Amino acid sequence: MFHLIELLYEDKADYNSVIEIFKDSESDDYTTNAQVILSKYLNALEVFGMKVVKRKNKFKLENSLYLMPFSYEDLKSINILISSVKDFPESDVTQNIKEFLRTLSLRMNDDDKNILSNFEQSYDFSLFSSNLKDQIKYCENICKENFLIEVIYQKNKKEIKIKCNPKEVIYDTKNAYLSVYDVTKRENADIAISNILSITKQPQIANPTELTTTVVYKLKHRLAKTYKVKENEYSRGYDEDGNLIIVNKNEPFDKLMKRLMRYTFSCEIISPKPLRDMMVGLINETLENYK
Amino acid sequence: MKEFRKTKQVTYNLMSFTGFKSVLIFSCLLEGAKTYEDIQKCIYENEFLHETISVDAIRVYLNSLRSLGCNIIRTTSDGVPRFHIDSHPFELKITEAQTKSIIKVFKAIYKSLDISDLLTLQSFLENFSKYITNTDLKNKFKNISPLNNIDPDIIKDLINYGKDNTEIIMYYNSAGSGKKNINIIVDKMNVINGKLYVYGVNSEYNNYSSFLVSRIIKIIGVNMQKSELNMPEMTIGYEFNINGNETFIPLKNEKIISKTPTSYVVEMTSKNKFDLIQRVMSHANSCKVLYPENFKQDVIDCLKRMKEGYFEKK
Repeated sequence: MFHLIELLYEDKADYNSVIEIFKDSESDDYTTNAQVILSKYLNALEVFGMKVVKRKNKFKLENSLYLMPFSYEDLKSINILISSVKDFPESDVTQNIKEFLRTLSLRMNDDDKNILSNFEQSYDFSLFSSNLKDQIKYCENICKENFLIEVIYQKNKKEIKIKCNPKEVIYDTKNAYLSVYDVTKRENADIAISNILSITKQPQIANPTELTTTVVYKLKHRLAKTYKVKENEYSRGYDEDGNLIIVNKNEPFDKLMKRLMRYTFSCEIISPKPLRDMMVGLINETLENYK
Repeated sequence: MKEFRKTKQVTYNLMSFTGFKSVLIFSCLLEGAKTYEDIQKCIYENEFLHETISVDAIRVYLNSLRSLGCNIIRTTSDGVPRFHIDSHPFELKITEAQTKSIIKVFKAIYKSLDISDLLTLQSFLENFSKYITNTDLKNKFKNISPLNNIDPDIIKDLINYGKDNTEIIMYYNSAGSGKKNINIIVDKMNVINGKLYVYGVNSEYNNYSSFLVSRIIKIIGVNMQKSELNMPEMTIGYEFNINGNETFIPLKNEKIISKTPTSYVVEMTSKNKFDLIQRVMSHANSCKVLYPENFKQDVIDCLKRMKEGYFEKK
């Protein structure tokens, strides 16, 4: 009985798997017997109050053996998740979240289901209905195939060509990026998918080893005391002048430089030297705008 | 089936009674601790069963549930044993793939949500993280929100105080000067660079400031008199050079004034000069401040000071 329920919960209750549970190999007519036993168990579940339906040769559970309490906040969050996957361009992500929502719905009482279907607030996650869908899908497949690729993209009115390992597609509110590891420069980069001109697959499989450059920078003044270390960072503590030393790994350089620019003169890159020079170059180029 | 639903009479050739009793006992023990007598009553009072069951038979059912993976806890009070199910195999499980997908979607959408929605999601993430078995992913899931580790009651209070610009006294752990009381007239809250800030007029110094909400220890006083935010707003204009086809995302306090195929002219308004400088600096060489002149000069001075920092004698 509980084996059947387990298959139903996991949404793996296709007819063949289910009938296998009830087969008795010693009986001559074991398939017919199994069918009889199965229908007796399904009847037991129905009498108990569990609704099981058969669709396309598969048994589906429509409500749970037990119910979970959901607060109004939980239901509101579920509503946000439902809105977010409506137009999300990655099918795998959408599928995973829909499956999660199904498992929640199974455990929800009718009142909660009713509240959920009557939420009036809608959310505009407009990136996900953008015209980038096909390119995103292509990048998503490129990441799955995991071959070394050559990408040509636009950056500040120039065409850039890099050889890289594709990693994943990531998003902010309006843009989608292909996150890659540049094998020549040994750095991570997030390339705006809208700026990609071409992607050419190379014959080699992407090497999983990433030797990224570690960046060390110091934070001065008040920021040294208030800074919250990021996910990809750790602190080496304070130097003799009271500056906080931060070690950063894997953050794409472009992204990191723009973030550090926000900290203005309260931040200084210590190493590697090429990145320190790049930062000075970026400050100079910004100053050039005012000449 | 339909017929016996009406008559409540079930025969052995229609339904598995063993299966039915096992789910009934499972459900009974999920409700809370039950004695043998409670379980017997539950079976007896069921409209389809009306049968008595021995303690030995109940033990067999309990052992079957245990072998299935149910963690049945036995407690004794007044010499009477009680049983309840502490965990079972049908509990909600959030798989690794589902967890990663929720994290990915959260990262993509959280900047579009207002603080009260973020607060709602934060509580959801915390409540549901217990259904993730992988410890690393569980921590990522729990800590992904910028509101993580901040007292939700303080956030709720600040949302309300911001609605009518209430003046409050907060006990604040300042990075520079330690713990102290600060008076502010609350304006709004914003997430900047993954951190939650409250903005308002510091009534003691009469300047518009921002404070990290995570550093507020508690709100110790509220001025019941109506307060007003009398700080002047500063408006700046800047030119932003578009990088290829990348979409420029204006902040709530920004407005695109004009567009060319290669650039935008953006106007930004804030009571806080520091915010304006940070925004402009984050655009680096893609941005040039157009007006006002004194703000433009401040940005140039800031850039020069940054440069000097790199050439100072060590």
